[in-house]
Amino acid sequence: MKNKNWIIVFTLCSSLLFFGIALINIVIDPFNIYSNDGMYVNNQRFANAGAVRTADYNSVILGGSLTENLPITQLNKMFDANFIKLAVSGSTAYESRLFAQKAFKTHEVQTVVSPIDFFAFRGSTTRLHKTYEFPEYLLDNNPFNDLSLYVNFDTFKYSLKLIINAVLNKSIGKFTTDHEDLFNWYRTDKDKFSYDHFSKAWENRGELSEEDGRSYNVNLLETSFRANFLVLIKNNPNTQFHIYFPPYSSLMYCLFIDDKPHFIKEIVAFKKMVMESTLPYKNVHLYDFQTATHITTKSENYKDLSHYSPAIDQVILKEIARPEHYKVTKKNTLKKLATFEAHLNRFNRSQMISK
Amino acid sequence: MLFNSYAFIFAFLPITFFVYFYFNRKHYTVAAKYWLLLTSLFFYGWWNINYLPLILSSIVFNFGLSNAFKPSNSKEKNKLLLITGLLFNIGILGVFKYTDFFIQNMNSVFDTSIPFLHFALPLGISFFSLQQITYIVDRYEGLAQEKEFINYAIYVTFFPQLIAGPIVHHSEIMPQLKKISAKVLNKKNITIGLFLFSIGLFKKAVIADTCAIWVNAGFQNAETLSFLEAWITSLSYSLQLYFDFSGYTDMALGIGYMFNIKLPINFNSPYKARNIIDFWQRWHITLSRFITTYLYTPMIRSLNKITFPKAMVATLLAMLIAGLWHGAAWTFILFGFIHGIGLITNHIMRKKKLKKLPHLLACTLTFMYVNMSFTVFRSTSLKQSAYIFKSMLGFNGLTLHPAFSKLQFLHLDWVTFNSDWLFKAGASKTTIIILVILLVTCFIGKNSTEMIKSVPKLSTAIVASILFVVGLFYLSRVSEFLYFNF
Repeated sequence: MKNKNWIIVFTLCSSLLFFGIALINIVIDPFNIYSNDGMYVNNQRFANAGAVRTADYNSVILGGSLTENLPITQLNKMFDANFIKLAVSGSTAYESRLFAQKAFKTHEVQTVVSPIDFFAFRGSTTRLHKTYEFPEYLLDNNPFNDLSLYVNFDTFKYSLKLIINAVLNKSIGKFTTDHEDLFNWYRTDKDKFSYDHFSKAWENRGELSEEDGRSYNVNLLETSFRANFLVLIKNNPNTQFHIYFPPYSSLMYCLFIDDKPHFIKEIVAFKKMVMESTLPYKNVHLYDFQTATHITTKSENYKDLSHYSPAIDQVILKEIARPEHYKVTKKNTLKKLATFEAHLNRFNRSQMISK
Repeated sequence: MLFNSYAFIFAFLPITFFVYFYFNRKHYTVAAKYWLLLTSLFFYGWWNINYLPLILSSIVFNFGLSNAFKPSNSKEKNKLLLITGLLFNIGILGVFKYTDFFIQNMNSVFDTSIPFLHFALPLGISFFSLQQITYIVDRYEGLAQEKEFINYAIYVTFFPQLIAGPIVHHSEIMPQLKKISAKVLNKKNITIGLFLFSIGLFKKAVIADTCAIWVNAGFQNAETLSFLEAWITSLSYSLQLYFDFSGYTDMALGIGYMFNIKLPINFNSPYKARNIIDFWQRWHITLSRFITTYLYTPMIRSLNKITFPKAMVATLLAMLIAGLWHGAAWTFILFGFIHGIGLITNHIMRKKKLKKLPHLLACTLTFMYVNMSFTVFRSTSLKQSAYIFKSMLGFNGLTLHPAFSKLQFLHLDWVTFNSDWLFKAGASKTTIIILVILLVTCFIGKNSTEMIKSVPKLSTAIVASILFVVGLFYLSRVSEFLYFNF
């Protein structure tokens, strides 16, 4: 074969393949970017990037694994709303902000429910999850870079599976019509809320790397909170924000205390800043479940050091529906913080580790 | 700019290519040279424009210094110029790459708390520094001479080899660029170039970046990996590193061909090596050549009397430096030490004329040794390596899929059955199949340089276009080339 012909064949084949596959991806649109057929791929970050644009909703749940299990039907009843869950496993504050901003841009959002999870605020303001790819380009304001989703082999694999399913009436690939099904880890982990799992998690705790240790710096937490969360409250005064400090196990704090002697002071300072900066807004309803020591000191409420059981979600929802014990107000801020700090200083880890 | 980016493939490369040959066709050869230099600097500055002044001042200094070498100079003067050149290039490398490492060790040895300087590592500094060292030494030896600044600047910045090699000699590039035939479009070279680029893109974007998923997950969970997870992690990294770096080199060679420049081969099926000496003759060949020519040989030359033990000490020293060149951490020095010991062992075996091992056994042992060294290479600390080795040796037990639960009758305490059996390495059953296929390909498959002999065929055009498009469709998972950090 002549070199000239080789170049022509190569160019023709490449162009045909490239545009052919891209066209299939655009037509099938497996991530529901342009229209929503209610079929979601088993990838939280990409499924949500589509859902946030095209699903039908008027309220959102933000956050990470701690809100992945919040029951939508219950929240819908409580608020007479239509919630969508934009929580994703291991979410960073920046990822949450991008989802929220897109939701505010494309929908009238009445209510936001979100934990103030300090893990999410660590590190840089624009930190993404280390392992999971995050489609920032689908959540920005540039429609042209969305095309890279269609020049993507993973998209093609999903498109092919959807075509096969439609043509052969099969169900290959991991798709679901239940958006909530993408998030609920209680279904698989329901038997793990026990002393055994909890103590194993403590035994297997890794050492805090130097990089991780630095990323929990109170200044970084504050900067990220202001840039990624407070800005949402400020810019959307007509949306009600129900936000809460989630009840991690008391033992969880020991991970940090062992490594950073000033950690208690830092975490208290962070909470104080959150309280002081959010409470002036009338659309904020703030709750602190970290003082609920009857929850946080019982290992059977947890599957590991921070993830709690469905029963604790019910405590949270009950409080949001009818505030009794955990609502933070301008008046009780200092008392709440003092109780929290005193508990951490007094907490005896052996009460959770030993049976 | 990355080779594996839409900006490079759809804009930078075609524009640079067509304008370069357009100028040459119109006999604007000087303009073509300046165009090549300008685009190479643009390619370099795309990532971070702040890096540009450093590389430019380095080029200007080295060019000025090299022109001060004259036959009429006294020997001492030329030697002084050589030492100045070496100190300058090693100094730049040292300041930007090793200052914090030095401070860190000072702090831990003397219990001081000198603050880190946190210099940003300029892109490709390890490569352009070495390349300029080769030129200065060659100039001192009278083996190279470049009178025109533009030619020298192109030699250093020619974009296919600028940021991750191959490390080329002046004599390998410049005579080719100066040839009249190099200024004319050459269909054969374009064919080979497109073929190599497609293979390289596939290797990098599809294979290496897929292996990276298992590597990242495995190293993140190093402390608690089971036997199989640890092996998947370790083997995946050896494959990732190979396909990443050789993929990059294939792309660099391919682009070189398009511009009628034949860059030196950097990889020659390294995992087919029978021993560590053989390995370094196949892996990052231009670095091996640099180590031999510019580290090992001068050390040997400086000895009054060469003896076998002295030569072995020089080998170990050269490999320790080579290890450190890869990065500022003790894990890299240990990597160099492991290879130094490997080389010495091979030399002793040769000297004692020990019977050669059967081919398959020799290749397997060599690969296992290299694989171990790469695990150290990838680890962020020696502790992390130790965790992985511990699991690879079975100290963390073996976890199998529940499908194997029939084996329970053996009552082996160290075997457990769990559906998450490969979870901590982010892997699945398919991972094992893929790794086996990749390993077999590395052991028995032809490498890309061997494949170009059969290029102008219909089948290769179709295969190359498929590899190219699949590679393109994997680009949304853009990641950096591993060697850019070294």
